[in-house]
Amino acid sequence: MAQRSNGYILGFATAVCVVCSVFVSGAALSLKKQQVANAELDLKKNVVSVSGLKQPKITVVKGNPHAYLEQKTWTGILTGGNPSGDSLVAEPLIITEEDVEKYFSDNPDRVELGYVELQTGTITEKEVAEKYIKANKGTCEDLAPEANIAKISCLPKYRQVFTVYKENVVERIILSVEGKGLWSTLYGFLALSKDGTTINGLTFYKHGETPGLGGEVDNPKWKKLWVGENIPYNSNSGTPQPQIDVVKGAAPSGVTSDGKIDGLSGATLTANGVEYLLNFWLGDHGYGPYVKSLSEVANNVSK
Amino acid sequence: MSQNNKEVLLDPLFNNNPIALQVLGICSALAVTTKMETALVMSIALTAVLTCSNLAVSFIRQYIPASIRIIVQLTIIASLVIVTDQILKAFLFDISKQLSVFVGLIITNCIVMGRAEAFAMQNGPAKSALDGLGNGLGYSLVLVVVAFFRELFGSGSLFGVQLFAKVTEGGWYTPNGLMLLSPSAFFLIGLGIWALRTWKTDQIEAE
Repeated sequence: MAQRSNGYILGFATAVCVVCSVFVSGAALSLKKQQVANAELDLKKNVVSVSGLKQPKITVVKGNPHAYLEQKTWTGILTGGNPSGDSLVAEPLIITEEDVEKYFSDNPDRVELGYVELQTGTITEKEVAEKYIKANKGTCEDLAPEANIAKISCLPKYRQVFTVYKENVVERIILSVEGKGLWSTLYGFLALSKDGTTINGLTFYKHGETPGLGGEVDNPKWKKLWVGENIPYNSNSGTPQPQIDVVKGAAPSGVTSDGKIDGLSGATLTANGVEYLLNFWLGDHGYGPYVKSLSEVANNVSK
Repeated sequence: MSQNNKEVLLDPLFNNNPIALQVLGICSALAVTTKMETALVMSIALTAVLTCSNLAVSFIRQYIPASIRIIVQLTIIASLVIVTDQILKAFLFDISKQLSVFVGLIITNCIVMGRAEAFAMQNGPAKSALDGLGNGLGYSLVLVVVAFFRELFGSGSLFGVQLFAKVTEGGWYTPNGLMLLSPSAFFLIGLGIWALRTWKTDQIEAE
């Protein structure tokens, strides 16, 4: 190849850059609408999937004692397994676009978006919170580095909470959680019982963990392990702190196993990330005050 | 198709496979092969990028100044990869979530730049596109074969359809956990290379 002048080289480089950037930005802009719609639909699908409003199809397996193990489903704990050896097995739950539309509209069974002021744990009016969020974009609350166990980049003043209604009665609460895994930040939803003491579901809608390893946080079978776990609190140091524990290997069973979940093989750091982020968001700096108020309300009602 | 073009297209499948003989592009072959679905989408994405990048580089090969040729190739490849990623996010959202960073990492996949530098810089557009397609298919072949064994023995399923009933679900099959971890892909690729060299003895390097 012949020697080229510096001017030619510069010109050529510029031309390549311009052509490539037009190509890339053209594609990005024309596909943006579709991508945003996908992301929003995906987010709502995840909310519906932990809301428990859509029930998976349940089949009875005749004379199969092994299926007894599969008694935990999305909707809570089935009575599964009877002396004759039959057991109940839930099919995987598939949320469609129609389901999202149905449950996000004015229905007796529905999901409603609200905002919690994290520090006080009180529900804030939607208009007030949205106005504040819009006006204070990018401002974060103070958070000491040692308290930031989930390694989040910004602690907001108000944060989303979805309230699930069944027949117009509050059924469960869905919190929006996020935190560092191994490579990426995991974004997900945690569903709690209406008194805030039990986990009813956990799902992640966005993360960049290794497919097949850390990416297994998306595995329905792993997600199912969370259903029905009571949140244990440790009150060694003043105020009670959540003590969810993702165990390396298989978690023990029995009464002492509250809040202990099997780890993900080959993905200890991602699993630890999940543990930290849940403890963070259920703790004092996250939704802790709000979750506490839920159980107080529930206690008063039962008295 | 002339004999020569046929060779350009089909040679990378067995005779000169980018993974098995040139041992390029191993990292994504380890990462996305736990499932057939992700392996297949990754294969299609890489084949598309490779074909287009070879075509584009070949078109302008006589105008690319030798001193900046690598960065020019990289710019073209990077643009194609970003566009591919955007398309996956728009039309195959669920799979693009599973592939996550690995689509972006096609940029650093040695096969793509290797073919641009080794083939497209010297040959015409049609032939270069064929070479890209052939090497893409060679990569895909290895990925799909590895993913077949990993998903079948690691999860007892293919394309997410359960074929072997797992013990945890009341069946008979105890999944092989090793198959879900990256080293198993090394073993499978190694065994594959062994099988290939037993068949095609001319691939064995002289000691």
